[in-house]
Amino acid sequence: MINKDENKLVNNEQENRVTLKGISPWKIAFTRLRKNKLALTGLIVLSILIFLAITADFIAPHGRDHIDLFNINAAPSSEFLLGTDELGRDILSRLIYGGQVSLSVGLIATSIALVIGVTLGAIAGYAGGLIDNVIMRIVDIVMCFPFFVIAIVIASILGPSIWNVMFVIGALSWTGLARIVRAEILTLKEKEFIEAAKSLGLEGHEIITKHLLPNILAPILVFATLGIAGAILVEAGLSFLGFGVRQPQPSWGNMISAAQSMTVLRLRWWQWIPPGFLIFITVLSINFLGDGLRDALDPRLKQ
Amino acid sequence: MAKTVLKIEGLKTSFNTTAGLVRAVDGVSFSVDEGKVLGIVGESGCGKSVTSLSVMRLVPKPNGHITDGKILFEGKDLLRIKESEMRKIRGNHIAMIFQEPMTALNPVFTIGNQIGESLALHQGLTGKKNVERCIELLKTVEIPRPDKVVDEYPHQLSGGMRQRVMIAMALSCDPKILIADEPTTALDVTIQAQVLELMKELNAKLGTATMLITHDLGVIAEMADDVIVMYAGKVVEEAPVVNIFKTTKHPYTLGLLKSRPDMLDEDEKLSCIRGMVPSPYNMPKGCAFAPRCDKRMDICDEKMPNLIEIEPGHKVRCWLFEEGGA
Amino acid sequence: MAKNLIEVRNLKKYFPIMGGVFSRKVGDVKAVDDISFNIEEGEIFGLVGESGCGKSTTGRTIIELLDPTAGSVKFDDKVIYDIENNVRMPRNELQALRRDMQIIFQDPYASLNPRMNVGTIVSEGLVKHKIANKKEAIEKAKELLELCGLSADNVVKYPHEFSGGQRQRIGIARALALQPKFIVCDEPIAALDVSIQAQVLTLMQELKEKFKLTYLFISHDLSVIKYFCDRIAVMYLGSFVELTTTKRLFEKPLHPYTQSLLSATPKSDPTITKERIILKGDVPSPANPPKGCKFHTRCPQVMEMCKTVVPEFKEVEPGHTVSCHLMDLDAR
Repeated sequence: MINKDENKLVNNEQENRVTLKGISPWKIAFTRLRKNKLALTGLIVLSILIFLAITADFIAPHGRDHIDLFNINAAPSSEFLLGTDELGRDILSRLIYGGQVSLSVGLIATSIALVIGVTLGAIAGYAGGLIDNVIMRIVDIVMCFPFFVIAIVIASILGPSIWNVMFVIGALSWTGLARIVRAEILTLKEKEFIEAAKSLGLEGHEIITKHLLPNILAPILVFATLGIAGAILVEAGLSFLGFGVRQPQPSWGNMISAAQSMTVLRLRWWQWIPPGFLIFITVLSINFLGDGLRDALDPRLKQ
Repeated sequence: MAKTVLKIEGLKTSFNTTAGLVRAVDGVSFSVDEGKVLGIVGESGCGKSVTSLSVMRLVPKPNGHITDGKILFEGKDLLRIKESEMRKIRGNHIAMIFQEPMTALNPVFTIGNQIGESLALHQGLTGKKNVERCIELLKTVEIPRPDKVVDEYPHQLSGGMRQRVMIAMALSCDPKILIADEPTTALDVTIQAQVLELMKELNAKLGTATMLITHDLGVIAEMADDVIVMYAGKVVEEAPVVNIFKTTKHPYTLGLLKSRPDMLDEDEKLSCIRGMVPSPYNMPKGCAFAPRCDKRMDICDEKMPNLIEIEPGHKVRCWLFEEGGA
Repeated sequence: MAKNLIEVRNLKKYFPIMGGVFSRKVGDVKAVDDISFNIEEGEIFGLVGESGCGKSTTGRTIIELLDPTAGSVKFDDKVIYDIENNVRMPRNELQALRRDMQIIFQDPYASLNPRMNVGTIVSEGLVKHKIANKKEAIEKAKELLELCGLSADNVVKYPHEFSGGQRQRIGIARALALQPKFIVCDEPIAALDVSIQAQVLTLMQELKEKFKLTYLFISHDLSVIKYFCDRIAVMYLGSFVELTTTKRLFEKPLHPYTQSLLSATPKSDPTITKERIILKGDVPSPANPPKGCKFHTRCPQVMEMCKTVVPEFKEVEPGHTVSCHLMDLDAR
């Protein structure tokens, strides 16, 4: 009992010391995130995948496109840990390189969506009136596009390449974010601290960047994380259909497309289960992290 | 001598939070007599609302717990009965009015539905009789066009009207005790005057014992017969209303009175209580008010004074009035 | 006589009500409907009324946080706007003039940006108007915080670490940073506990003396207004019903609404019995105000003419303006 009380005292002191430094809302969110096991696991798994992708040149046991004609469709062995594909390329190495593609498509496509969505959403929300109307109608129109059809059409016009995939995904997936940003800004701009900023003489763009955006960073961040997962899936889908990343460059999506053949599906599990599993694990980790972020950043959940 | 309806002895309610245990109500005792209005006054966080929730046994679970004490309603300890029994008492014998009339009413049901619900539950009134009783109740609380209002939804009524509906709901089963938690705080002055007038009339007519919880000393002066002043979970002063205003004893009560511009004499300056309410995680060892008190003595920092009766009916918790203090 | 710092003439602020399929304008909420008054230098001008009477809108429209619908406002002999004559102060001049007019808000939880630390909040205006560089501004912020009764270390903390009263002090420090002449105080103590209210009120009084400030003090609490203000305007449904000095208003309220408002405040002493004028009914909607005198639906002394003729807002004795038909009767 006495021990407990002493602990509390110590805690209090620590709290006081921290208080002197000032606890930013971000710090609180981070502490909350650290307590969330699932999100933390997601973060660790993702970090490992990113690390592998970055250091692929040093880690991959074989070259990306190295063809070993003596070992075509070889089952996993001590030399080829996950076997080889129909051209005799090492699956494990291609998986590691494929990670580069999948992750960078996710990141860059989402960044494109972020730039378009946040800018248009913020302008629509803050300006209101005619500008708001025009922007939101554009959003409505883009939302009407059947995503995969358009993506396939653009990809077939521009030709399959990793850059086109990024561009297509980014250009089609910003609408949800624009709506979120606009709605958040609409509620925020009625807040008194925005009026205070106006009365201090700040101009529109300063109010948006200094006061509004930092306050809606939380939903943006959550959207971005989940958006990356979505982009990875779309890339996999497009590549699977042959409109995405082109051979010989590997991506998890075009590696799975091996499973289009019945023989592969039935007899060579090592050619399609590992990339499938990686997509699954990546998307799951990102979603865990995203959910964790959402909870951590939610101002309504105090402590 | 009026009959005591509710008697609370040594009530303790605390909350578990991640930052530690908060003793929201810490040993509060009082009683409410039939036909009387007991005012409980204090600032936010002093435990006045938790006290009323404890009486209803509605302390938010799972973090809140009533750890000790007795709540005797007509001699029966409400803390020792089953939840099912409590449900029969709640709304039936003990009714409550909340501060925010908008959130306390369900927006998707008509006024008649909501008043009728407890009538059906506790008194078995259904069908036409139920509606008639609803209209009668709305008439009692002086709502114009009661026969129309019965079929209206909460959003169609103004704040004052909604609060009247709340009162009608509370009175629907002729409760023995009415707990009013800041009933007029959300209302405008002229509407507040209307509602207070109504509550006074009803109290006189129906003789319901009332617990009136407020931060507004004006409302207390208007309504209460007896007053309890709470600070940091404890009762610091308890007296008939006239004594609270005229022969104020506790420095905190005095400070509260002097903080209100309308309690001042002509040209008197506002005097304010320094500092703020101590953090519930870090309560002072002695008197909780000591760090803000102008008349602080050494003993105040060391020991919590007891609530002692210094005049008949006038109790105060302060070393200035307790042996061993001065 | 002191000079007028603010001159408001025929100010109107209507909010459009949108409705229908194509969100066309179907009506107006007349939040502020034709009010005129002056605020003298160094004065505390009180604006009192019930919720929805347009007092906050008035405060915000004067300093052009809201776009006025009609009327004119002069600040320190400079025209901020004069809608009828199509005069608007140029943007850059107005931005510069913002230094002189500040506002303190009611809700201490909504008025501070939760993602900024206190130092940035208080010093923001200084940096914006290039009065000081970042470092100097923080030093100045520390001074201001101490002036407002907070310790200087607090500059690194964030709003959520403070209580309501402390946040209000931060809001005051922010308003003071630019050394304004005029501050609109929009219910600055309504959200605070009683003992904290007194602290903040006292602080505001001290600061007024120290910096020779002029306040427009908006409140629904007559006792606070009585204690704090020099002159008072009583507002009902967007219009002034009575305007006079605090002393006159409390000694001899002339408008029936003022009278009932005064009698509705809870008594300060349980031993006195107070004659009450209890108003019937609720405040009508400002979207559809009654014809004639807006108060006639609740007025205990309503006459036939009140229902059709709008009473004039005129001076019944020096420095005491009332808008009520009863005044004409007395004169006769």
